[in-house]
Amino acid sequence: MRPAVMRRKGDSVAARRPPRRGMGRGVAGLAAVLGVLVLSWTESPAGHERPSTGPERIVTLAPSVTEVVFALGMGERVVGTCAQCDWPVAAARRPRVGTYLAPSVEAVLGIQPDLVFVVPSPGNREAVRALERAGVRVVVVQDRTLDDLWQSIRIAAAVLAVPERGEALVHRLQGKLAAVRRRVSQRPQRRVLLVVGHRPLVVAGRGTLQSELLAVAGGRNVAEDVGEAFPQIGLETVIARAPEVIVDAGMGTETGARTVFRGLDIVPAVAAGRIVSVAADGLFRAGPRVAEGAKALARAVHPEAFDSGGARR
Amino acid sequence: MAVVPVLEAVDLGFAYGRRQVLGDVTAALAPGEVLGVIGPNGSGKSTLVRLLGGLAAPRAGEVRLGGRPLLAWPRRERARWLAVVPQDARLEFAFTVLEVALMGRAPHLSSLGFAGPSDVARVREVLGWFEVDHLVTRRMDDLSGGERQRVFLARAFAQDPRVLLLDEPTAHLDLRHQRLLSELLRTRARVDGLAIVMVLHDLNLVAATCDRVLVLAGGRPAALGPPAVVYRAELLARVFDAPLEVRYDPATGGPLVVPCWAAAATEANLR
Amino acid sequence: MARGASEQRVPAAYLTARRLVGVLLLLGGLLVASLLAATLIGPTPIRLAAALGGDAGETPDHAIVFQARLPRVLLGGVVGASLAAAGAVLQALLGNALADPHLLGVSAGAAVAGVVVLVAGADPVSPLVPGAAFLGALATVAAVFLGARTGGRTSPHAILLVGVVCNALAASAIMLVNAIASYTQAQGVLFWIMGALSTQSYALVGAVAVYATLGLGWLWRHAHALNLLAAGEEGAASLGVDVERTRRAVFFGAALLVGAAVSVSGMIGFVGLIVPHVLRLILGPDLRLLLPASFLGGAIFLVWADTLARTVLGTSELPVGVVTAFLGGPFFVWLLRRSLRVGTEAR
Repeated sequence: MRPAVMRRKGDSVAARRPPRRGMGRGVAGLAAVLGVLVLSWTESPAGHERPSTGPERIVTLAPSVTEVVFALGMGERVVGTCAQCDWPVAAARRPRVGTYLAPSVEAVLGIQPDLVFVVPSPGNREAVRALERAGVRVVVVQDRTLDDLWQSIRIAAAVLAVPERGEALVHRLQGKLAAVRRRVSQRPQRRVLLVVGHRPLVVAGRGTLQSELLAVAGGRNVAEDVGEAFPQIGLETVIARAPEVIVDAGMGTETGARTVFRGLDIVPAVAAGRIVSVAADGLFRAGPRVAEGAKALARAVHPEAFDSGGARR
Repeated sequence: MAVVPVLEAVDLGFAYGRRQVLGDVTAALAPGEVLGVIGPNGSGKSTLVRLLGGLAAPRAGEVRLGGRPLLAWPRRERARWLAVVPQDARLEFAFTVLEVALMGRAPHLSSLGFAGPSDVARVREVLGWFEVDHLVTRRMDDLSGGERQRVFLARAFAQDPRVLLLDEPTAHLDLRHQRLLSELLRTRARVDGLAIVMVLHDLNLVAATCDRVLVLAGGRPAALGPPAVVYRAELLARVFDAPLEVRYDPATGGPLVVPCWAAAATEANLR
Repeated sequence: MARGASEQRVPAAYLTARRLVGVLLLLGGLLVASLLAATLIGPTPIRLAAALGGDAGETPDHAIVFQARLPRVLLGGVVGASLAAAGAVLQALLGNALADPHLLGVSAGAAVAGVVVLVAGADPVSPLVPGAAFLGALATVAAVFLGARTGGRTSPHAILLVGVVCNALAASAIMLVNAIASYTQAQGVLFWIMGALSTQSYALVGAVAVYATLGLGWLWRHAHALNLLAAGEEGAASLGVDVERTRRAVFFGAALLVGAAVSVSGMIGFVGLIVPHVLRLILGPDLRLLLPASFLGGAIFLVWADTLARTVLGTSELPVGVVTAFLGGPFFVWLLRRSLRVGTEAR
């Protein structure tokens, strides 16, 4: 498959054949013309026609970066997304090129993208390597923490030649997060357990997006010191850490969440009935909706701050 | 002789699929009688033992134990009457000699099989007959082939059966223990009235031990009677397809079969 | 073996009721001690007095011991007991000291059913999961039994082969399901497959315990017949054993034990292989002792393996199946080499 960079206008240079022998001066002249054309061609990757156009055909292989690209206003250039890329609605309508865990190299190449955005997942490494070997331009971003988010927005914006939009987006999102923080700032921090899996009982630990958003939402993660990003813990650890609120962000059912902690009245959250299910996508994707995730968390941790009496500061 | 036969085969027949391996076998065994079964390889001897022991159901005919059809007997009761020592007893796990021999008492014990002192005493006595009593605490996989075979023989005797079926019981035994077995069988038959059916390759051992001999050829009985009558050179040579002579043994008063080894070699060369 | 050849040691050469009771009492005592110790061990330090003290609702120590740890420790005991007992009889039934109860294929059937229910959206803590898994186990038992019956006989060889086929089919089914499942679901599936103990209700633990004990009793009735089968089918038949009935009963008993264990805890490996094998080396092959001893020994083994799983990483936990695989794998290799070596050294 020919690399995307070759598919420019003025490509007929590649089709030139070398001249016959004995035409020394003719050859030199032709070479000079060739050289100038090639030089001018590589000197302006964006072309002289439109100063800030960037790649035209974008494929995004992770939901978070899909949301970022759309939030940067470049949604119409997205020609293919992964199966899990379901937001915004326009992204969900794009042709599918595989899953987040297992993108289809074939499908991606078939769409002939200029650029592919990738988030490392347990399983897509080989596919990404294959795409790189085929000459496709691949940009890797991370989506584990808020810092990853700011960085990925900036990287995406730069690559898409809209750096100013990237800065604006970062600024806007940080402002939203600050607003959430303000809303709960008067309340004392509450001890919170962030459950992401019922069996095994997996919680969000230090350095995860969920934990960071919890801090914004006025909560203290009781599993912060356990040492891994998503540790599997036992019930005794829950009892020992005595959270005041249990946020259930797992994929199971609400009944399931109650079943896990049934009868553990020694835990303040259980005794007070504060097991809250939160299903916001923004809680799991480091994308433009993180502030909504933070807000959902804040609503769960400090419900009084969201009473119908209006926003309190 | 109006003695009720303790074990009877009536028109016994068996086939593996379509291959007929046994047919028209009729014989009756009286208490205290030792019957030898001889024949070339593949003549159905082992099959006969399995049918007589109730280990397989005949295709034709019937086996009767104590006058009743064998297959109608409840298993445990049958096991108290009838013991079988198959040709190659293999042991998967390392039981001790005593444990294996005690298995023979199973038909007399409860389903949990816990042996009492009298059972242990009886078993040790029987082990003593086979000269393996000194090995009681040894594990079976620790013994030689011959010692193992003697333990299995002892196990069958420990069952205190009235009928004993033996398939090639001397395959691993040395001369001494072959003789021992032969004497033991004759003694038990005479003293306890034990009825015995024995499959053997050693024609002379059969002659020395058995009251009657059944000769099988191609699954069918070729002769049945006392060794002195059955051991005719033409018959045996034909059945076994090997040149041999039958001489008179003054020591036993019975026949002595002598294979013509040299002649056999010459004939083989000629072929 | 430490059995001497002197006359005085003769009683040790076979199983007496006294020896049986003695060994089982010893193992039972070890089990109780293990249960107690394991309940007191965990990543959270507890104060014994507070845990056992009267104010049950007020101290976390009491809750930790009685609500978080004890049910799980008990469950580990019951599951380990079931797997090891099934392994003991299966090794006898198949005539192979290296057989594992998961060979039956029942575990795989239970796993597939549980996985399907998980991916269909059931919460992992919902009773649907073990319920479906147990149904899957039953279905697989029936399939293996019917598949292994030829001409009215259930041969061990056939049981093995059909079990292998079931395992292979189940593995592909699980892989397929995993491929179409979401990432989080795939994690739940993996956890289930690796085998793990979790804190369940006392009611469930009690039910499984009763079931396992009944299973043990059922199997124990056939222990003597299985001993006799060790010396060959024909030898056993000649001793009055109903070979076909024994094989069938043992197969069903073992399969149902395994099915229940896997339904509540996934496929925990190596317990059913290692515990009966080691106990056989120490206590001898007589199943009348080996079977209940494996039951108790399996409980002890898994309780300690789970204690390790709960504590080795500090506050976070490992699935116990990882620990048993880690301990069991190299041990199994050692056993295999030892048995091969003994085989070649034989006269």
